[in-house]
Amino acid sequence: MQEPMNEGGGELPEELKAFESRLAGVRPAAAGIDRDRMLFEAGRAAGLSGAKRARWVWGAGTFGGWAAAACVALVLWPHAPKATPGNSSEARGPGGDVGAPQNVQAVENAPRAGDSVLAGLLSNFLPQPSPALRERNLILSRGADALPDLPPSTGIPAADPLPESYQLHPLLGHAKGFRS
Amino acid sequence: MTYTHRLRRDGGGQKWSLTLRIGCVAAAGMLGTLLARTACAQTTWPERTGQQPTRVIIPLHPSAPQTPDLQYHLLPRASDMHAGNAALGYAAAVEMIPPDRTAAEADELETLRTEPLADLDEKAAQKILANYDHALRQLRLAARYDYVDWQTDVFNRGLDAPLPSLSFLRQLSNVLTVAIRLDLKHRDFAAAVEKLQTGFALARHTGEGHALIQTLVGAAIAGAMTREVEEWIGIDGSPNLFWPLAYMPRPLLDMPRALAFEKDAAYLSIPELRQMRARPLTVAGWTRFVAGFQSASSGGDVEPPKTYEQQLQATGLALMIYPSAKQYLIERQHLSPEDVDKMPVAEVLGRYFPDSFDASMDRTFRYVNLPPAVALPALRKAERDFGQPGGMYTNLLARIFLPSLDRAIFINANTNRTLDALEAVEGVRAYAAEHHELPANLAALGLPIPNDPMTARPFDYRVENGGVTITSVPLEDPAARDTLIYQLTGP
Repeated sequence: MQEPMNEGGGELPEELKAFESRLAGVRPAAAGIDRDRMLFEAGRAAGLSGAKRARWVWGAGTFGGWAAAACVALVLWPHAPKATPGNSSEARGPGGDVGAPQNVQAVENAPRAGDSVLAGLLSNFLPQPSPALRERNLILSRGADALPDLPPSTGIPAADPLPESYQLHPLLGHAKGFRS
Repeated sequence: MTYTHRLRRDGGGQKWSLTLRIGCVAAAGMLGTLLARTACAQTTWPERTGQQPTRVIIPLHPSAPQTPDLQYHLLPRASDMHAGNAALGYAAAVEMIPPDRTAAEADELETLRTEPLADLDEKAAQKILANYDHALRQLRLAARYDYVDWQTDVFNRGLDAPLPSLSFLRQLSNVLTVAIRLDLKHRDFAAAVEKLQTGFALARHTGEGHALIQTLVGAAIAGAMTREVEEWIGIDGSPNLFWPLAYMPRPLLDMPRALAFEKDAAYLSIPELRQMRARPLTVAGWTRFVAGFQSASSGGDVEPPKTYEQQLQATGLALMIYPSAKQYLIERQHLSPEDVDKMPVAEVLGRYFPDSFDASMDRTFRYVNLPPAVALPALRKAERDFGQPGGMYTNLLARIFLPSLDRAIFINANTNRTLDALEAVEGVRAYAAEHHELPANLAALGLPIPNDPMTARPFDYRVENGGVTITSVPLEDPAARDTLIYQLTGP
């Protein structure tokens, strides 16, 4: 049980008066935790502890990435169209490969020299015109004579040949109950 | 390569000695050849390979215009037509083509179409015509329907839409020419002109499709028919076709409709391209566009790529196009470099792609409906510029979809030029019949002779060596491979 306070209004001793004045100077501060700061400090502490290992992993990863890119370049390079200036104009000529995909520099006006390896790699992403589209372009550039000829039939008569009129008449006659 | 009609003389039934018979046959052969090469009714033309000027040599037989002027019609008369869709009739005719066609028959048909009229093997011709009897009757019926609607699904499927059986229609027109030639050999001009009506109507109907290929096949069929008109003109005593030729509609084939379709074929084939114009592009939209692009350009012939492949390809294409796209937006759409840098990559591509595609296509298509004398030189220059590496903002899609148009425009114009030039030829025949001399120039004919559509100027006309040459040299044709010469040889 608490002792009753001094209600008599008696004077405090000197040492308590000094303590009282210090207490009066104290102001309540905002409560809470600076979480951002905590997370930053925690991350930094963790990073510092594993710094050596992380540097090794990133270095190896970068090297591996470049090595893989070089391998892909070596594999794909022979398939990339050569970026020669004459390709595109010849491709639309009567004797050219009409509708063939163009080299990358001509296709999209790729601006920078020295991009040939990248251009060669990217050219593999170019859509290839279908045989039908090529044929359409060929016919439009050369005329209807470029239409494929009708393939000759095998010479074997169709299983159900069209009945001739003289065959039809008896059939109709029988169906209707007449004699032809 | 040329060939000449040669007269065939059958020997009598008298029992001559062997030596005498051999001598007579040899003499008759030499005489026949001499006559054929000099004075007899021959129409000669080179094989039209497109690599050399086309020179058609026709013997000049004066012939006054018919009375009434349009006694002959080269297209079916309205009073002979019936309401209905001709495409259904043609489909039925194709179904009636004999199924047991062999390579030997195809070769024989080619011979019958091209050998000199005097040498036409009538028995072989009649045999083929008998095989095609049902198909030709159906063809005649179909050609007399009053409109055609091929009902190709181009508005949903774009270039992937199946076209009518063009090769079979051409096959039928080839058989029809054999029938016309047989009529001409028998001098049955009324029967020949009825089949010419079928052929020219087939040409016009075939050309009324949405795909430019159809127009070109229509032009090829019309070319086969005009060749028979040339043969007709070369026959002594043949009726004059000046007014029937003048009455033929020009242009004969409806090309603007097909050109409009070809211009927007990519939009019809790739729905994502249409959507790209309507709203900002996202990464997913770009991936769908590339997949649709691939599908459209492959014609559905390849297996659709897997999702990761689509994403990889979309990324690769984006990488490839992005620098040009940025440059395009800055220079052509006048956006600041800072604004373009702030844009997501997909948005840059979405703003660039349809705009640049239209720009690439428009630089060629803007000329196509002009008169050929203006359009052809402009088209040739535009296509040369288009083919230049580093050509301004040439769009990848346009590279694949833009057809070579100058040849198509030329082929269509050539159909009209041939009709116009033949009209001039018939004008000369009419003048010669009336005045018993050759006209000094085309103006002397007193008939409405059209200008050469290739130059918008009168045909070049010369009187030389007792005959006449009517020449058309297209503008900017240094190799003269597109030159057409009608040479009327005097008696």
